[in-house]
Amino acid sequence: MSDAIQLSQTGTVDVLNLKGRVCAQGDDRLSTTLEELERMSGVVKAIDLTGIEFIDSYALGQILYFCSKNREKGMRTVFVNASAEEENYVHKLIEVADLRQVVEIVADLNTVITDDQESGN
Amino acid sequence: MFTIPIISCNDEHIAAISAALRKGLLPSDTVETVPISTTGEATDYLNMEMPDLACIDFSCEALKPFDILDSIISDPWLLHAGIIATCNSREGAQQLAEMRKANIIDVILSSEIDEILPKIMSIIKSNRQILFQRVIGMDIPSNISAAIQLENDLHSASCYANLLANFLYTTNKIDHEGKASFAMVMHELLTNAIEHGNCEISYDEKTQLLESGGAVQDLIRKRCTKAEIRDRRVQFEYTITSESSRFSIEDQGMGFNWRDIPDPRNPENCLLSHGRGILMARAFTKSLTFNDAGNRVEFEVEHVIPEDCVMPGIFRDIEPTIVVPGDVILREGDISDYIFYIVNGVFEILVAEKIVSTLSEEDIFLGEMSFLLEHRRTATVVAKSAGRLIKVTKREFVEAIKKKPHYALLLARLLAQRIERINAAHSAEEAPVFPE
Repeated sequence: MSDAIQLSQTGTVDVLNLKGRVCAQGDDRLSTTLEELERMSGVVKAIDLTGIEFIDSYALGQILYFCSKNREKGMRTVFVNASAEEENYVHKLIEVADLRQVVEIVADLNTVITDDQESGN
Repeated sequence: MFTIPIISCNDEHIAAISAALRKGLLPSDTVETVPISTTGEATDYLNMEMPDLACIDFSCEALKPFDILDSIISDPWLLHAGIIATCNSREGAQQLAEMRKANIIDVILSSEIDEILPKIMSIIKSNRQILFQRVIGMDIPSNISAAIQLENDLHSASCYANLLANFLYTTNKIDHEGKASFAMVMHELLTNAIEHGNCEISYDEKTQLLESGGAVQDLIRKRCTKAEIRDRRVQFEYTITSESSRFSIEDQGMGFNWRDIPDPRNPENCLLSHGRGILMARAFTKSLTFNDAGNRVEFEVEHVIPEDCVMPGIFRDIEPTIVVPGDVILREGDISDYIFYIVNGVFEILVAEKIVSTLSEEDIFLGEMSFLLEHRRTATVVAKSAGRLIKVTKREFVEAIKKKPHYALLLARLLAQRIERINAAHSAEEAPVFPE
């Protein structure tokens, strides 16, 4: 069960906030939310992973599939992880799956919003 | 016998939970349910009775269920009960997900109680040894083993992952981050055994399903309409020792070539929609290995004692004393106006210079008998290993109990258990030392 999935919009940045245990096996809520995120009008899609306790590989796959589609459209996707602690689960996951090579990772959602405003969007 | 508090302000909900709990057990299993309908009663019951299991209705706002959960997680040392949470909507479950330190076994929608709760009860019953309360847990043998067969049901896999993660966490074997990683690994590997092993869902089928936004559980249900697939089981075994925990998961499928999994870290694979489960499991465990056929996986989790769990909340502000082997902690004949809480270490108890017993962190306190009876020390205590102790004066102890009275009950239970142990040790030869 995917327990905590929320969408919001700040300026032209669409934000998907994930919290707690994100398990997509047996639950289609993440995929429907990602479809909704895709339809939103923002030019930047930010996926905030900071509050994740753990995520299963199926949910991670759905998010990366979304990133891949977004990239094909030439749009920017960023992952937000506020924790730099080495023992932090999301931090470890990013390192283990080597996600930096395919997705931009930032420590603070506000930097994405500010960047976007400065670029004139 | 199970005694399970059902915390809800809705009588119909209590009746539904009570009926569903019984459905998951055999007629010979006795279950006593205790309906609780106010926040105060719930907090008192959880603190005083320390049940193994509690059902909390999070759709009942008048009950302030999150306040109850807050009081449970405010002191990890007393985080004892496994919680089955029920709520009316997926939105209700959102807030629960943020309670990251809560000992939640499962979150069930009210509409799913009749279907899901009996399955969870059946799992809990067959693994009751890992639901023992912390204090009673001191008496469990140092090695715990079990062999279980799982049906092809993802909900059961998730329940096992949570149950074992909670057990390792509440018995101080892994820390909070370790708990999350462990739950993920168990979830991944049990799911793999069901999906790819028993149900023979191929890589391509999963890719297609994932890219179309489909749910794996639906495909599993479809596969399980065939008897030869439905009858397959996942054999799940574990052995938990004081140093580490070992797990093995074996499915009855055709196996797979684990040597040929595309490395998802290669740039050409990095955005593939799946294939990361084993990589993630390897990264978060020690020595994960597959058999040649690829239908059995084994792994080990090293135990790391978490600081926040090893100390009772009431003593957390007191600086521990560091001891080295040979340090005399207490001397026979001294005035006993303090006790030691054992954070870690091994300590020898000597009477007339003869070792009569050895205590460690599992015994929780040193010197509590003479402290409570206001006698002089009846034994000398010497550190056998390096360790840490928290010295608690009588005033500090009384102040702590004023703040959290249930610690007094805990101490009483601890002493009762020690007496019971001593009686059990003597019962084979002679009459109990401490008749009841």
